[in-house]
Amino acid sequence: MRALRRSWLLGMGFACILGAAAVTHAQTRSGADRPGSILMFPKVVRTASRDTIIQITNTGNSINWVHCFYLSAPDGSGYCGATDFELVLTRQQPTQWRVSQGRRVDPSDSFGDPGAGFDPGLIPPVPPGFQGALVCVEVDSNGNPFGQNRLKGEVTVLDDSNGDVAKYNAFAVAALGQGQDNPLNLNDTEYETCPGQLTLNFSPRGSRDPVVEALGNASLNSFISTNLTMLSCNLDLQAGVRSNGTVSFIVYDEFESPFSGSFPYQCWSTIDLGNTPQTTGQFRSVLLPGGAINTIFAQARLTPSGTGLVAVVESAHADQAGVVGTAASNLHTSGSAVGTVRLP
Amino acid sequence: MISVVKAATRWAFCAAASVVIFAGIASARSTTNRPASIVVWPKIVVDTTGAWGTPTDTKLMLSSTNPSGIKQAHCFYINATGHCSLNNAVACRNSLDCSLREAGECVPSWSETDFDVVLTQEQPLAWYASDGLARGQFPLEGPFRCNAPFNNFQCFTDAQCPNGVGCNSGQSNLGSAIPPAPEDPFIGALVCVQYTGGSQSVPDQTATRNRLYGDATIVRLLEEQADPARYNAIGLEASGQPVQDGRLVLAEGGNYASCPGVLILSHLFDGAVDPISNTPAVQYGTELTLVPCSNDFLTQTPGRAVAQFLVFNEFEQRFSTSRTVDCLFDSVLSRIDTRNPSRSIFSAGVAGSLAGQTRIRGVGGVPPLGSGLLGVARAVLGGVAASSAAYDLHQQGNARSDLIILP
Repeated sequence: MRALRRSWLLGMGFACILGAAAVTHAQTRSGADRPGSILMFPKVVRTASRDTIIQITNTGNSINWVHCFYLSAPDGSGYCGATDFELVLTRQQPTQWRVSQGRRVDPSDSFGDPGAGFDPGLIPPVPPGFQGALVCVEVDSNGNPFGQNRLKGEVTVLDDSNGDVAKYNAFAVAALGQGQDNPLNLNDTEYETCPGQLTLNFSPRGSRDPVVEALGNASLNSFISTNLTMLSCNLDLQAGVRSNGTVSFIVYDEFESPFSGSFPYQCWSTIDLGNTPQTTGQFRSVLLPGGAINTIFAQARLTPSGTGLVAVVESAHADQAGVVGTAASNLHTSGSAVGTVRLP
Repeated sequence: MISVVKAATRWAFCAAASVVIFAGIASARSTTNRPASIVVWPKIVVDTTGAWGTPTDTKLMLSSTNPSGIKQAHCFYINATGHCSLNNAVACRNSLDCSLREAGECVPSWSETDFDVVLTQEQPLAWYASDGLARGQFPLEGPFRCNAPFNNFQCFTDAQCPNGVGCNSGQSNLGSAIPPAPEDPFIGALVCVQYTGGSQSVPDQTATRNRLYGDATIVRLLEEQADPARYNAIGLEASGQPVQDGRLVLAEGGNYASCPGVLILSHLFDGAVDPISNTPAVQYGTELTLVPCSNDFLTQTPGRAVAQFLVFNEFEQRFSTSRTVDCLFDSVLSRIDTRNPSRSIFSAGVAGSLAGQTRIRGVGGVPPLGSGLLGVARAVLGGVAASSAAYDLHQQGNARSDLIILP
């Protein structure tokens, strides 16, 4: 009888823990507005005219070791490999670098130079033509994952030819304890999960921008387009194995009319919405051939299969002369999906 | 039988204990990524004539993620446009706007204009702040059809259908009207509170609360190109506790999530020269906009707080300053602490490094209103008429308590 009572108490205790876990599950803090332990920068570019400035900040009052990975996957070869480097940030230290230049360790940088400040470590430049992502993980002095939730980051993509800038916040995944092991499990036990659903407000491809047409020199024929860049939460940075999946989406225009479809993604993908076979009708204005969206604003809900995704959107507003201004922003998120990041 | 009762008692105890222990953890939060019940756009600019330098308008987007049924948003435009002391017709953001026209000092002012927006399920809605949306411009506002057998009759209300069959209006935007920004040029903010909708509409604390999200694109027209700058509106989640007497308590255990205790801004110091082009003409700058979380819309009393700034450079050196946030604060960083930007602690020449971190904490609110702050930043490359990009500030911790009083 005593054994039976003990088993009851054990069962109750276990159920309480489960209940508590279910409750805590609802209060995810990962996102683009709070410091975290894994920083994911979905869009980093270095093309002939565009370059990227990375900013990473330690918001804590103790030293923070960071292991970072440039993820390059634009060639469609199936390889999703990474180049890694390490940073050490002192308390509250901000740091920055241009990806085309990287950052040297040079204590003789004079006051006010771009490299002035405590050098966080040797940061390699990315090669010309680079398109990919950056992932940074908090580690301890031995390089083992160590969650402190002290990191935040920003990306500025700038066009050196016309000075255009676009900026977004890195997505920060929070650790749920310290002393994690490799691989990093984004499963609400080691780290919080990734978003299970992404929501995007956008203007369909080919929509006109009334502000450009009313106030600018372009008179008519302005053109809005939207680029979506996605980074999977399933990353094998050790073997460079590509993760594949499908994003199903549903688009609502202002008449509440739904349009749905799907498109594939890899570990890192970027697509011009409304300009691919899978998205032509659903993300394109009726002003263009094949377009179905009859209003100049719409909402899209993206649901990845299998694993979580983080993403950033960049909208481009072109005038009649074809001169483009861009704006980047983080997507809204909901739900949760698991992921795994395997470090070398 | 007794053992069954005991078991049920234990399960109930377990569930209650779980809820009590973890209620604090599961509380609502402020966010720029998730749908919420209060949505705040801290910065809206309208300047169609370019009186402040560059023709500008703001596209505002508000969407419902509710999968079924309408949701209502009760919104407040906060007009923070000042006017010059020697010429009341000249609108200003700061004294610089007046001194350029020899119109004296900029006298700050504050007023609010409220309106309702009804959103159907999953509906995105957008408008330009300069225009608003008038009757006839909303996507779903009729005319509708009468119920059978009078389907051929068009209607807007039940009274317009014969034999009392009623008007089949389904879900629509009827009841919505969005005024244009109250003046041009205009600088201000927008706050929308999710209501239940229907005839007894109240601040929504039902199971389908936290269904609104928004973003803004500030579009400036430079000489040669459009300059869009986009940011996500800040959301404050509802906790489920009913609102009493139109007083929205933003606090742990209140009706809505607390405002952030600290806002963190990562920036490049003002005046830093671009390292690639290395030409003084291409310099970085950052504009910061802060609004108080608290507002008394009943007595038209704006929130007021002191923003304390802690600034860290890449040498781990720390500077600090503070400024009063009265209704709305909008300034380039290097004019926060001085009128001479080159001597500012936000200047690259003073800080000595490119990157900086600024931690902003609101203190000293006027009771019963609190001292929480919300904000957004705009990074600028290349001087005043330069391309720019907006971005949300990071958040940390919780402010003590804030209050929004509805009319």
